[in-house]
Amino acid sequence: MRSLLEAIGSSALSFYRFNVELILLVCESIGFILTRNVNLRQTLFQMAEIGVNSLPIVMLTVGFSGMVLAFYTSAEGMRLGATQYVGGLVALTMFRELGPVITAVVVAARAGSAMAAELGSMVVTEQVDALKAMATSPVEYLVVPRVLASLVMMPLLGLFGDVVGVAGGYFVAVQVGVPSSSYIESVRRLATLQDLFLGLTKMVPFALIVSLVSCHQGLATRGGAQGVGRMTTSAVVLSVVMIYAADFLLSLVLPLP
Amino acid sequence: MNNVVTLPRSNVQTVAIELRGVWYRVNGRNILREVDLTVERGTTTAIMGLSGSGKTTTLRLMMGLVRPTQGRVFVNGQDITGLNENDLNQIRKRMGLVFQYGALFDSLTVWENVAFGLLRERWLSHAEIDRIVKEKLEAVGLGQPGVERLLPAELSGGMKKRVSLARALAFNPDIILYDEPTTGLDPITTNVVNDLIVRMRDRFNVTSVVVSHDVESMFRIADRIVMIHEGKVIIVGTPDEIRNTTDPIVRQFIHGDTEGPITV
Repeated sequence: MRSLLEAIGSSALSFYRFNVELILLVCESIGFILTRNVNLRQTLFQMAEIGVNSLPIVMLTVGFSGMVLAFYTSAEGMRLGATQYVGGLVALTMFRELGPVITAVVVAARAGSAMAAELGSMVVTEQVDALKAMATSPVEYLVVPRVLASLVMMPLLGLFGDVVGVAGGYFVAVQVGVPSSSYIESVRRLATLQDLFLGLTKMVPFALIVSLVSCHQGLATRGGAQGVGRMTTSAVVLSVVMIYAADFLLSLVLPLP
Repeated sequence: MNNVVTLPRSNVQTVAIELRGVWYRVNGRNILREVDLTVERGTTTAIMGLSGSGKTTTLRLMMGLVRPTQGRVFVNGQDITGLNENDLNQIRKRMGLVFQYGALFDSLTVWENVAFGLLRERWLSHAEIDRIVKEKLEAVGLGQPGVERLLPAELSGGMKKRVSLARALAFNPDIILYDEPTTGLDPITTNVVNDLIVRMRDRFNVTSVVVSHDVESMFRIADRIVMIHEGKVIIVGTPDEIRNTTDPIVRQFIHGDTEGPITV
């Protein structure tokens, strides 16, 4: 009984500590951004790392999701004689939900894990201490460029994902038997630019979650290689859970077009 | 910098670093126990002790990388115990730290590592930074052309340590802290590093604190030797005093005897 209470207490304490540290990291990062202490070179490098290098995997995963979605929707549409809705349904689902969420999860898995592993390795090899010893804040040099790069690149990745998802859907739907003009017309009629923006708006909090959680977990690494592995895994798990939780909350809060 | 305790002026002139009644505790384990230690300005102080005795923690406390659980740390007369990171950074700009395994930034070249702090000072021109980097690399015996373009992964352990030393020297600090500067180096490079530590003191009046297991090197370079055992300072003295001490723990350590009060 006592060990159970201890376990609950310890978990509650860890959760509390994680939240406090994350809030402090946000405040510190905002402070550096507002005082224009931004390392442009590092930020550009991270933009390439997070954005350009994640583009192929984002296009692949969101593209395949669009294709699967179109396949099922087309089959049902053909059966019910409602093929004029297929394109619109695919586009709406991609724009509002699948595009942003899959993009964010893929970036968390690819770039977030890399951030946590890199920062974790820097902690265990004393590189973070070396930064401090040279009067350089690790938040300024390591965290702020990653947060800014994520904020710029993740909405762009989301946009590419949306386009590829709808295009992939078009390719499959036409193969299944949905007329090409019907798919395009359906997209035009049912999906609006506001739907696209709604999804891309979600990418901003998703970008903050991925970058801040991954950097926090990396900087909180203790121990050697085992510690790096553990924190990398927890960075991805925490990011993915928080992305889905934020997605749910944002769906309630953001007005539908 | 409010509510900051400072040392009296007379002490500031002679004392570079002072640890006063310092305790450091991690996970309920006392790493340091009531350590009192004074490092005189312009001298080389060597800290020796077994692995895990608290030597590196002492260096980290001096640099403000960790804070004492109890007690106070003074650097250049200023109490750094409760300083925030911004104020600590002002103190750290006058200090250098050479890490045990180099702690070089592995995504940057040797040149970029040594220039790291200098590049952040916007008043320095690129030509001036380049001159300083080459001068510091030469001082640590890495003046060969092409070295500055290598990445840390392409360097041997000894070279990494020397680049770390060059990086610490870049700002011409008043105080340099060395964590095992000669461990793992060949005898010739060990002497190069030892000579450099002595030269920094003699030519530039730099205060050095050297943490090491290398007893021979310590006797050669140190003005004062401190031994920390199980988190406590057990002896402070000149190399001669340490060599001639009758303390069985110190004698066993400097002679490397397997028999004695220290059991490993």
